Amino acid sequence: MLKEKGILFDETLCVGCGSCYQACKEKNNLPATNKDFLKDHLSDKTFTVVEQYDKKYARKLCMHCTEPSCVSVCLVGAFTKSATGAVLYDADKCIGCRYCMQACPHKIPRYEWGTTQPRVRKCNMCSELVKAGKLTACSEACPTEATLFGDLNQITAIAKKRLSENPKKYYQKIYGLEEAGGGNVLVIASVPFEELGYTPLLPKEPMPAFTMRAMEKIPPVVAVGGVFLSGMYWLTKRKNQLALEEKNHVKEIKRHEA
Amino acid sequence: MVAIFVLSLFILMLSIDLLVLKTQGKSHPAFETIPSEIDVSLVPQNLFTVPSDVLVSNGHTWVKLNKEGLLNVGVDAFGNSALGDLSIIGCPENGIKLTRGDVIFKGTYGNKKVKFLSPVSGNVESINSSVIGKKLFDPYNEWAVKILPKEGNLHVEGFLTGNNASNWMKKEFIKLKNFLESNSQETAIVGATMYDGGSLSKDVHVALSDKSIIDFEKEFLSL
Amino acid sequence: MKPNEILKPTFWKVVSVIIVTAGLYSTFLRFSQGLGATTNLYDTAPWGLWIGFDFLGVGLAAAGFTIAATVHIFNLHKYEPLVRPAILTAFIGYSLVVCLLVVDLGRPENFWHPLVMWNIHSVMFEITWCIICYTTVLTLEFAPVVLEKFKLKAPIKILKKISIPVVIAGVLFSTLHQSSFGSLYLIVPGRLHPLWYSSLLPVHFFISCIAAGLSMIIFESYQVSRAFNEEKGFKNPGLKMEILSGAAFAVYIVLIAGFLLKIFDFISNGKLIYLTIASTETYLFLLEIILGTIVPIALLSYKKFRIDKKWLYIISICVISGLILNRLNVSVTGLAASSGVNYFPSFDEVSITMMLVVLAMFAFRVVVNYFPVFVEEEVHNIALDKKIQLTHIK
Repeated sequence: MLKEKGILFDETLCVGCGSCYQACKEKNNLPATNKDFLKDHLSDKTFTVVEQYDKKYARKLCMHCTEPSCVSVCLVGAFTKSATGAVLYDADKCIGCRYCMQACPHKIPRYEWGTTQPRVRKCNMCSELVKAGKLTACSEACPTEATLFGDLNQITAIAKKRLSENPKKYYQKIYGLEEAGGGNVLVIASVPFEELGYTPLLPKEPMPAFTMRAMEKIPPVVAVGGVFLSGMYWLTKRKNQLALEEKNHVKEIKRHEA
Repeated sequence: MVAIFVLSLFILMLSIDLLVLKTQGKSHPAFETIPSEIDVSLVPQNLFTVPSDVLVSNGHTWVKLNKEGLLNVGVDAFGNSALGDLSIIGCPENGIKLTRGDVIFKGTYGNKKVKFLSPVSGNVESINSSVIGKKLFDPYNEWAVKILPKEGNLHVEGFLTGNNASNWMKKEFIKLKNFLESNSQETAIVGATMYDGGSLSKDVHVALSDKSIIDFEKEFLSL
Repeated sequence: MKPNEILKPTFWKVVSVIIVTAGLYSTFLRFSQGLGATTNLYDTAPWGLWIGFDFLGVGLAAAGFTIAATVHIFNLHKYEPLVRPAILTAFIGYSLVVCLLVVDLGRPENFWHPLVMWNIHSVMFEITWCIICYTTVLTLEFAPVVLEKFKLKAPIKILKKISIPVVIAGVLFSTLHQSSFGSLYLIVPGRLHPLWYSSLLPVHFFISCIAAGLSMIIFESYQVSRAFNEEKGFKNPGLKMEILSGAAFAVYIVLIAGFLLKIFDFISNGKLIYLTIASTETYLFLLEIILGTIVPIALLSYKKFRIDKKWLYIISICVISGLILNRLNVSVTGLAASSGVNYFPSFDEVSITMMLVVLAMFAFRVVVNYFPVFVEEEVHNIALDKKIQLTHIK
């Protein structure tokens, strides 16, 4: 069995060369979308971008959450969390409700709005390459090892080590370890992450938990509701019946008296 | 913004509908003037009461099933007094086949003749000669014609009963008032006699032209 | 109706034809060119007018289960005349919602997938199944009306026998999916504006749909009496003010319950502070609460307004407006800030929606014309009808 893999992005090492951006496009056969890759944004033809914040660069891609919202919300199960940690999408199952796009805490999934057979598109952590024991295209292409690929526990350890060894250089937090329940893509940087455009204030709990708390109440609601309604039916019917009998009784007495 | 857009569209449609109704001279049920309070107070209340066993048609004729299994047909309180006192004239002969919508009998308000339409299809079985040419005092008991209905052909849906019939009758009187106001050649007479005097005038028909009588038939006596 | 009567142009007929023509053209564009060319939807705003309208449609069709429960479970037979219109409204409302959903789906040809591909953790999955089941329930509840028309007595007997379990199932399915529309947004705490986001969202949705569904039935009674009283040969359904006032009182109680829950929610979660921030969201929220809750509560607390024809109509419009604002605020306004784009529906989105609304009203009209939906004086006339037939057999 394959071990769970992960990607570590270290902002302090990124020089903004765009190799990952290019490699991703080539690997996934995506057409060019913008002459200046730094000005590009995620789309159905772009699964990862490098964004510039002053002299700092930040990569954006699917965070491959441990308990992904998209997997949880998809009514036909078109999204799955694979053994390698990648969140995969099956276009043949998809009906196109786009709940995944609405639900993603990182706002990652993109849609092929331009076609009549649209698919949801996003990074799949180069699933085929990884299964074949290779690196993802972006980490393979990165000249500075700003994007690092490996077993999840190893890269987590590396990230922790870098933070503790260089407390001044790094903002003391690993983005993606706890955000929305954590995921297989980790980010470390020299500044707070909201300055680099990462979604701030995400809960530590996995997002599906918010839904589960309501979904859990369904069986009791059905059970109690069913009993309550049946009971009310019986009670009100009985009440009407008694009222009717009473009425008839009174009538009869009157008739007798007459 | 989308919320505001949809909401304004909803309200806009409702307002346009009110305007459309206004141009057609109708009113929305929510904003209808309540009959009993304003205009109708001047019309004797007993004209609205319809006995429960009577079915009133849109043409102001009524039918009632009698013990022989025949249908008694007569003129309702409105038809009996709309333009003055009604006299029924010209009933069909016994045995004649009538189809719903055929003229069943004629009537006169003074010198103005109007036609009443048969609310059912069937054979004329009997004619009440005692009502012909006289003023009717009890419109729902004084039948004019008895009809043997064509089997299975009773158009039950075209009739009003009970409260519905009374409410409709009220509306018809209001409609009549408006009709008279816009059609009479001497408005003053109508105004003074019919609605100020507190009872229906016996001379309303005088103020109407022959064309207005045709309109009256179309508006009030058609099924 | 005679053919020339049908073809006689009236204002609304002309408008309807224009709307439906435009809608059909937009539908053609939508299916031939895809969502991108015909909608203003965007990657970060993937749900727009259509989904919002689905919420509206389902919310306003809620009377189907509340009235059925009132009459059949709680045995309040006074409200019986409202049962059939309410069930018909629900049935047509749900059909509209399903059509609109199919238009909205990116891959409408796969609409049957939820039947065989299950993900029981998905709220959407639960909603889909509840809607399928509830539509079946509505069909069973409305079937007697159709069967009556064709004088088929045997199936009616069977339906009568299972009617109580069917009604109970209907209430449960409705409760689940009405509230689950709120649950859909539980997973987006960071994206939905805190004025609307709440862990109580499903409860808010459930309560508001009851009030709005009943108001819709009140509103509809006026429209029906407006549309049908001129027609010849139609039994005037009239306005049964006594029943409508009773329903209005229920609306009053439910609105108060919803309002108290909202206050509790705001205080316990410390959300009152958001009301002081001047923003589009705040204004729309205040409009929603004032128009849809406070004004109707204030008016309904006076009996003279509850029994007054004109005021009851205005109140029902207020409550419906409140629901329109609420559902669209949750599905569009509340998400606008986090999506980073200012979504406004395209012409095609609007015209397809309007077309479906027009078709729904048309369907309602057709059904009411051909089937005994409004039954009040029915008993009397049928009795007479039978008598006449009997005398003839003799």
